[in-house]
Amino acid sequence: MIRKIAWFSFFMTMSVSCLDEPDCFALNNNIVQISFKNLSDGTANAIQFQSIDTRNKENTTVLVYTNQNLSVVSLPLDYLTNQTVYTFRHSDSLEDKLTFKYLSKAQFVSDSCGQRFVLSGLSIGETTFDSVRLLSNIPFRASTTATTTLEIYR
Amino acid sequence: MPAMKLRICLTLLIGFFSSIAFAQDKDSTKLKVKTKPTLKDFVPTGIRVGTDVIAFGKGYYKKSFSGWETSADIDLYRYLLAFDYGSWSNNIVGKTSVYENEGSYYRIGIDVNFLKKDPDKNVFFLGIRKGRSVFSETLVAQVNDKTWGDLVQRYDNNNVVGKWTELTMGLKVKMWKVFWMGYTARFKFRLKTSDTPAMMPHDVPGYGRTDKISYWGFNYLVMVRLPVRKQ
Repeated sequence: MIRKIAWFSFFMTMSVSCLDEPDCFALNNNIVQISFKNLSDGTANAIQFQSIDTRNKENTTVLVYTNQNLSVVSLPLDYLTNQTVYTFRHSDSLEDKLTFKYLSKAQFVSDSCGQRFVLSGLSIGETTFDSVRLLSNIPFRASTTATTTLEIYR
Repeated sequence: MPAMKLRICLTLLIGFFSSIAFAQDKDSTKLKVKTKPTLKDFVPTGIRVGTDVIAFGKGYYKKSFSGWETSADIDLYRYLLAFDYGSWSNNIVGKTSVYENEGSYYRIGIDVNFLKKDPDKNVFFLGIRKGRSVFSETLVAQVNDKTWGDLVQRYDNNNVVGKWTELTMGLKVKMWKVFWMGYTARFKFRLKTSDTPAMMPHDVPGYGRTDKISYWGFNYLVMVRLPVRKQ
């Protein structure tokens, strides 16, 4: 009886011990979602933006949104550095700046996927917005369901 | 989802353990006279040492891997004090990165033998292990990102310590005189590594990949058992 159980357990263990390789799509968790809200009642506040942009380490402008009326935006963070500064240009020629600071660590994934960058410890640096509330200190991957990272009240 | 998988695996192991107990109760029809073990029963009868064949085979077929592992156990009545020691390294060349790691590890634990009355001292066991590894790793990454630009960067982790827990199950069978063969299946979990500022660990020697909350392992052993005393 014991021997039968032993062989059964051996084959059961072998059957569940297979390894699965990770998929290679959107490995970096460098996306943050911002919700704009009214300061008075906390309801969604749609804002007309001329543009929302940042600059990469080569000082090239990275344009994320142009001429859109938005209450929710998803912004990518530069995983090659530990800081990204976004400029929000409004329709009335005003602009606001928001600085994201975080820790970016490299990690090898597989020979087919290469490496990924894992962002953590997200915080808000300098900002010209009146009221900013950070809900999560970990950005998410583009391949996962978006969750609100930051709320901005105006 | 990973927490659910851990609960399912632990439930299967507990259910398997329980089924052995019920099987033994159903099979017993004779009146058993239970005798309590004495101190003499806990004196070891033999020391078994061996090596893992799968580590050598893996190194032969997978050119990016190199490693070896030795194990030893000593019996204390129906309990086995077990110790494993090993070393492994990886050298993986990908399209955009090169990863290397090297380190050593050990595991120590205790097994419960469910064949305590076997005259040949064959063993079918369930057990637990605590594992510890010290390793270093290097990653050379090449990034070509249309948005954020290009980067070639080297990252190093030196003398990283990894610790984990294992549940084990296996069989050790006497083949001929002092020569034994057997297998050990391992369910590894609760991995923790020391802080690494620039790079997250990818592979912990003795455990495996760090991106999984739990990990299955398997060893096939060839061993020699040296008797210490006659039972």
